[in-house]
Amino acid sequence: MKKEQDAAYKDIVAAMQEVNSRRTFRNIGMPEREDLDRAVLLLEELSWKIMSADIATFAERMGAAAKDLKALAGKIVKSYKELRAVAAAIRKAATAAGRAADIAGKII
Amino acid sequence: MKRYLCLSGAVLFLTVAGCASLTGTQISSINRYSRLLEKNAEMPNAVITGLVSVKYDIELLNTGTVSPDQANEKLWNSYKGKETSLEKAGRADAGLKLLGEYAVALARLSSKGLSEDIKKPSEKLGISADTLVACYNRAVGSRVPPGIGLLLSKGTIFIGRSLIRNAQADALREYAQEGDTLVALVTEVLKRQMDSLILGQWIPALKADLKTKQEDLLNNLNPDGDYTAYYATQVNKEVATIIARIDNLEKLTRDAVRSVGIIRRAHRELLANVLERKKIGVVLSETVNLYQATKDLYDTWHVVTRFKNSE
Repeated sequence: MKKEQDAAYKDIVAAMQEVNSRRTFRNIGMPEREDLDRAVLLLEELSWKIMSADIATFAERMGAAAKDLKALAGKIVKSYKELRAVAAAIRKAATAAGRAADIAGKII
Repeated sequence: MKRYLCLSGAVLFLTVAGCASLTGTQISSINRYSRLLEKNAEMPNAVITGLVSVKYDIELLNTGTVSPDQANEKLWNSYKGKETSLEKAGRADAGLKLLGEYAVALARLSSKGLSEDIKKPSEKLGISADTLVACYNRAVGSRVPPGIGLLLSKGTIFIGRSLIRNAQADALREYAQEGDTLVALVTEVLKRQMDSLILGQWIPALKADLKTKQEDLLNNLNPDGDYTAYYATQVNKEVATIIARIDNLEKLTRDAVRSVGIIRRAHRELLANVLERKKIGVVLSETVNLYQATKDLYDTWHVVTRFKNSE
């Protein structure tokens, strides 16, 4: 599949080179020129399709390779939140104990 | 009673201190690595969108060599092709963003702030306890030693921090181990694709396409026209600008491929480091290399964007 795509991309550029070599100042306005111009347009359209397909393949492969990273990132964030909650609980306990000591000090 | 208290204190101390938390340097290394990884994850997409824009500009070069109607069609075809490709490039970004997401999550988990938050309320507790002791001594006339609050404050900070750091270290070790296989897979796929698709196919094809368009333009100029030499010079100037853009993007791709290799090696080194139970402060060489490679990557990226903006 990959080799076919490689060949197709190179073929497009080679075909464009071939068509463009026939499009010169001398045949501007001649009937065969319009067909050659049309061929250029079609080849360019095809080259965009190949480029888009390449990018889609790139995206697909990256997505497949990285999908487990999403789950891992989720687990890490969960652990982070749990640790924050533990830190907050210790902080609250220390603050509450400090306040209790303050109140006791005032009563004494 | 006193004996039991002492015994429980000793057991708690040994339990807390016995677990190997990560050193400050180890945590900083993970944090630094994660931030570098996040920056690197943006680059492949920047290369792809840059090359799509170059292709679009190459196609506009010889619009004047076809009839006005066809020139119009050619322009809109190219525009449509560019938009579709950029939209797909946005999807390609999604896979890379997952690498960035992993990096951000790791950076948050390795943050020093997690255990630092406990310091302030614990110190305040110490001061309050000392004040209470002073009040108690005054009121009852006893001699409870002053400074007990400081001990209480230090104890709370020590136990609280140790608990969090140990949990943080365990989580970082586990996730870095799991992440190592995944980072290896993602970087391998990314490297292979950038090598074969961008460096192997697109860049040579774009250069060949540019040359074809340049020749086409020059072949369609009237050799006896009054301004032929002027037009030819203008065409060549524009072609030279596009060649420089392709060269810059090629360099950016090579830098990105190099960085991807270092990302992999730095993660492996980082993992080996956090799995070590020795509390030694080391600067990880591959993370230093990654820092340098990321700096180079961004220098090239700035050249690419500066060049594009100055056109």
